[in-house]
Amino acid sequence: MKQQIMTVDDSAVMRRIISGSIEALGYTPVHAEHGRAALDKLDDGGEEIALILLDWNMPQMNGLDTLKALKQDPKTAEIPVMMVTTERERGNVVLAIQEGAQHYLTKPFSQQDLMTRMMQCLGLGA
Amino acid sequence: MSNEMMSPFVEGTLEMMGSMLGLDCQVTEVDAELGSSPTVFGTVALEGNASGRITLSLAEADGKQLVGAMMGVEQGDVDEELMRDGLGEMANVIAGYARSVLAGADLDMEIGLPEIAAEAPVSAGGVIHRRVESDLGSFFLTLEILKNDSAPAAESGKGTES
Repeated sequence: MKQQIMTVDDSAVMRRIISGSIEALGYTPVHAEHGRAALDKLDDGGEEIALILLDWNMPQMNGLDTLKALKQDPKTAEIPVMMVTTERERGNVVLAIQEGAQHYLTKPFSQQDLMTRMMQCLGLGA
Repeated sequence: MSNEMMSPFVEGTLEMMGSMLGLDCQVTEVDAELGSSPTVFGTVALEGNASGRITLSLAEADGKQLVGAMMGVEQGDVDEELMRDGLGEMANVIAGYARSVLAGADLDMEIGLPEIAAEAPVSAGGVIHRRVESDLGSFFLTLEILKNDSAPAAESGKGTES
């Protein structure tokens, strides 16, 4: 069973908040500060990644471009992705789903919101 | 126009404070003069058929209290770098919330990445201020926004929202 969850967010505070929920589910958090860094880490070995939590508005490579790259690479295409973002316009939510995001959580969220959505993504019966 | 433009940012602030920090807060309209207490300013640019910026300004001690609440840690565990990062994220969340609401009013805007400064950004006019108070600290929420095809879209007034 894959034991890591990757958080891709340019905010260190947000990465720490999300990491707390990841650890509470018994998974190990892995971090990237933006999409480019995430792709580099996954290229080095993303076999243990069970889920990717992806922000939208980031420097260097935004979340949508990162999502497209993930889904185009056979090594990462099957890893479920949940967008975790302030971006809540319906057209952009639909676009992210069309590009392969399995789930979508808008900021602001509570820890309980996040835990519930991650459990759904992981098939843990939430 | 001023309150219509500001309302989504106030709603976003209340939503952010409630869901991410677990805090009730009171929002009060204030005049342009902010006084000397804010020492940190977190700004997110807004660009589109209306443009400007939203700024959260506060004292560093309040910033550490609020970011600590967001992270679920004590104030002493929040260093200056984390406080600045958290302030930027708070501004980002508020701007993102408001952007989606204003899009329904035909104001299409993109939001920039958060920027943190030790001085207030220079205003070009069209400014609205709100004071946001909670048990763990207070901050000012300042909206500067101009509809690109008209005069300044915002002006200030007095009153209380919650």
